[in-house]
Amino acid sequence: MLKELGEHPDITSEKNVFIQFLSEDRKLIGNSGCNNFFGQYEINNDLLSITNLGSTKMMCPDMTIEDAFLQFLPKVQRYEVNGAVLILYGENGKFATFESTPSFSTTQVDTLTAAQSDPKVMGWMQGFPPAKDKLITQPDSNYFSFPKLRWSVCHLREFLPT
Amino acid sequence: MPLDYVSPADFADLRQKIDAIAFTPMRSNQTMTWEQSLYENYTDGMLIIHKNQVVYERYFGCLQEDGKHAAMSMTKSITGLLAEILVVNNQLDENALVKNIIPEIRDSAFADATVRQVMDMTTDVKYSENYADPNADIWLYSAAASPLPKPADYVGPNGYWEYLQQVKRDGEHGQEFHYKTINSDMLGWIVSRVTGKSITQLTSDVLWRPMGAEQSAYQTVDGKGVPFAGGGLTAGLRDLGRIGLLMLNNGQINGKQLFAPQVVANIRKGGDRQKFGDGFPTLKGGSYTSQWWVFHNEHKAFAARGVHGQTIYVDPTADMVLVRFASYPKAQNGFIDPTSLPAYDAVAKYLMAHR
Repeated sequence: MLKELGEHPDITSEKNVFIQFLSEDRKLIGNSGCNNFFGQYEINNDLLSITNLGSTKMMCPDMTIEDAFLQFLPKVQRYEVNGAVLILYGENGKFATFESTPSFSTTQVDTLTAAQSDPKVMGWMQGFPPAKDKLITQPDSNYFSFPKLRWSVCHLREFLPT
Repeated sequence: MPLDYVSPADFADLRQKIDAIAFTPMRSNQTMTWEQSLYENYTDGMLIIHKNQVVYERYFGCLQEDGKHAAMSMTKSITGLLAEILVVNNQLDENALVKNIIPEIRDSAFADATVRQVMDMTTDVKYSENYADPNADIWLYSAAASPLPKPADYVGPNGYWEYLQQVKRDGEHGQEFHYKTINSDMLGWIVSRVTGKSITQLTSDVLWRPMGAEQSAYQTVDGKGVPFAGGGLTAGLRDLGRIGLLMLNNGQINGKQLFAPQVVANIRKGGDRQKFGDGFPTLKGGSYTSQWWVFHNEHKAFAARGVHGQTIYVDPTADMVLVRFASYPKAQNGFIDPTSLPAYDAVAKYLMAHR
């Protein structure tokens, strides 16, 4: 849940502004007070970038917070997690502060490590035929997105003619 | 021809010593060991050749010693090397305009660019890779490049070369470096026109066979069979080590001179640093020429680089070649360089001091 945003301290939680980082395919979802938004994120150590942001297009009486928040998200540069608090920083420093709530794992920013995302550990394309959830195919699957990418880089010939 | 290795005892010893080398990543105050950096960077293969002997070789993830891995944009550096060889052999005039070599380019933005501008990516062509914009050029390029059957109602260009024919100009050529893959496709077409061979055939004839490659490489193609000159290559780790050795030793490998030393000299000299701009913060002060990245650092290092962490890193001062395959979750090397470039520097300095 969003608690502080730039020059708007102590945002009431009735606004229900939240962001959730999903581990699957580095997607993020959230609500900016009026509209639902979605996008993708990338992290490296404490660096965070948010891309491909889209949102629903409802009109609401007061969209000040929403506009400020959605304009800020693509400019996020890094994050910090202190216990249940997530702070997002832009080029002018601290911008948004969130507090996780029991119902939302708002501070979960996780990317699989090299060992966890090892294609053998993930079990991609193992067995014959591989189980449905272990298949990497083209064009109906995102074969060049992490973590599938880690298998596909050694198997391009199985996706594209050469 | 097999690569030359240090003795098994020395190999085991060096493996331990190199793994333990500590360095400080960029923008950090905490040291990291070489071995930690391999995991941090989702490394799939790492090969280090020092004084022409393999001193370090490890495989992870999907790769093994007889396996192959996508080279991504390191493909550009192979295309660029072929072009530079043709320039030095006077088979290709770097000052010629593209339209005088390939009349079919018609009124494309490339028509009035020089070969050198294409080689150094100082053309100014419209090509956006903003994935969030449904009208971005990358989508039309992807549709043109896809080898899969086109939808029945598709009316756009088919293949890399048809795509190039309709590229629009964005500004004046020759002013600034703009890293755009379509320059490599253009260069691939130029190289093919001048030699009458596909770049895959030429790579095989000029580099792969004479250098004694141990595996075949392969390259993805569009629906018309044109190889992807900007990123389609897949090859073995050791074979890219051989490419690195050729670059390190001025065109020589296994006692054979495959191309003139001037080819490497031209690349090592680098491109116009004034035009490089600040689009690549981890490569500040660097340049790009003949599709190779030149660091202009203390060791005069230069490299082939590809998204998700691929590199052939040549350090002439340390007499070292390093090849890395990786599958880092994020494409941009700007995220990977902070834990890579200082590590390469540390291992180069270690080898210089101890071997």
